[in-house]
Amino acid sequence: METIEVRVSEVSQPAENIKTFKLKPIRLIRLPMFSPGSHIIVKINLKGKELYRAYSLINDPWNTDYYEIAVLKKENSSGGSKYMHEAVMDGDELHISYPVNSFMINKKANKHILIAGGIGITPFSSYLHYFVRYEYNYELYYSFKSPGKGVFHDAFMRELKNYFYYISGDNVHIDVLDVLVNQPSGTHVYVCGPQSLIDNVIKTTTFLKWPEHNVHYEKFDFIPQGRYFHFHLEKTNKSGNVPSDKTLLEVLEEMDINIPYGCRVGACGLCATNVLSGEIEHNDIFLNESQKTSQNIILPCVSRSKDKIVLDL
Amino acid sequence: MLFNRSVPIYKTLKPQSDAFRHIVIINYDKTNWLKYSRIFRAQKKVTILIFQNTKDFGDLCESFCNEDIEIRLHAALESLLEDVVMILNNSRIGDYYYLSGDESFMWNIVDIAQKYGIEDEFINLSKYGNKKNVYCSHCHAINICDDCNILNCNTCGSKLLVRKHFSRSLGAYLGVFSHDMQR
Repeated sequence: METIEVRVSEVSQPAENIKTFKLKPIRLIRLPMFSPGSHIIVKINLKGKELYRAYSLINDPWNTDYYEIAVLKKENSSGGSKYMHEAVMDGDELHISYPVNSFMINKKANKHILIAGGIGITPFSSYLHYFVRYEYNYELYYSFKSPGKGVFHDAFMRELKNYFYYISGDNVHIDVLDVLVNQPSGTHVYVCGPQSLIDNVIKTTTFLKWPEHNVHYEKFDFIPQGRYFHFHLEKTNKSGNVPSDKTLLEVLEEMDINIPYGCRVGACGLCATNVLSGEIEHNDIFLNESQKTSQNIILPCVSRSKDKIVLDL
Repeated sequence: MLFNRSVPIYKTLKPQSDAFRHIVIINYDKTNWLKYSRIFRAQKKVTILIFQNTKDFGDLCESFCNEDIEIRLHAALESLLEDVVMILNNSRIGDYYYLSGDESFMWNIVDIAQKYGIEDEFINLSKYGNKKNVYCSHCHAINICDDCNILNCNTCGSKLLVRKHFSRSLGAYLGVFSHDMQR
């Protein structure tokens, strides 16, 4: 992975279990431009093991003097978020990827509805800078567990006009049907949060006959851990094992089998690889249902096998 | 889809069973009107905008209009387009638009509908008549002609050869200086 060297210049904790990190370039004058919804991949060296974690950029895309990311410390974290919270300090050096965007704004839409659950608010932070600057027609629906867990909530209350929040700990949830019914033609909805929220939005838009391409989603709670499995590469006649805390892509890279990739979160499809045999456990949001059912293509950045798999590599 | 590569796709108007509202916009032609009135008679929430006043419209409306079907007649294109904009301003996801007429008429409306964010899949085009828009590649004017292959641009006077390439953003066929094609 081609990386940019950055220095952590400011770490703060705006909400319970959430830390934000400002990353300034070490060798570059400015960091590369990015579009709203972009994320970067942070390379983490954890006890000699390399891990890659994707985090949305939350700062204003017009200011690339630094990047800013927000990281939720997951309760069951065995690597990335725990490391970011406990080990990364001001002044530390990190290696990050160039920005990647698999969750773009549709600029032809005449209205944008953003639905976020928990840390799923992060990609919308850069969206909102854009929407406010260009006076886009938008509404933001943000659900979080308790008042202390809503990162950006105070700023949204001060700065946004069409902001609606829901405290799920008080049993107040987003009524997705109520939000989406009777929306004007040309409305696009974007959802980021737990799978249940994404499923709810997909189910509702299907029921309301929304066009599929007006519905955008990004999964943030992907946990790369899974079952250990074995793989064989048919063309190069190599084999390997994927331990439970690594992805197939990471293991292939360790073996110097470099395949193209983009987002590393199962959204862009660049790493799609043909499968000759074996049962696939799909964890991506890129392949459609028939591609998943066919069991002959895998996104090794997130998907796994149930036991053994033979790849066309 | 409204296109296959750069060629527009035209279909027979067929009401979408899951439409929230049906908006039918037609350039009047008696044969077609009779056909569409039969097709949409059984539907609910239908608004029909008709361009070109007709003497026999009164009779048709008497037998056709009901609480679910509203017909609005427009003798001038400007007034029809104002009505279209009014409808688009209140359009909801699930409203289907059925356009029928010549290409010049339909693409004028498609252009406006797309500015209001109407997706291709909510627009159904049925062509009749031969009028089409031709874009002059020299002075950028849009000309209207009747099924022509060659025409003189009304603005710059260039002799244009009408190619099969249709531009969705212009709603017009490409007209190139006819000498360019002879070189």
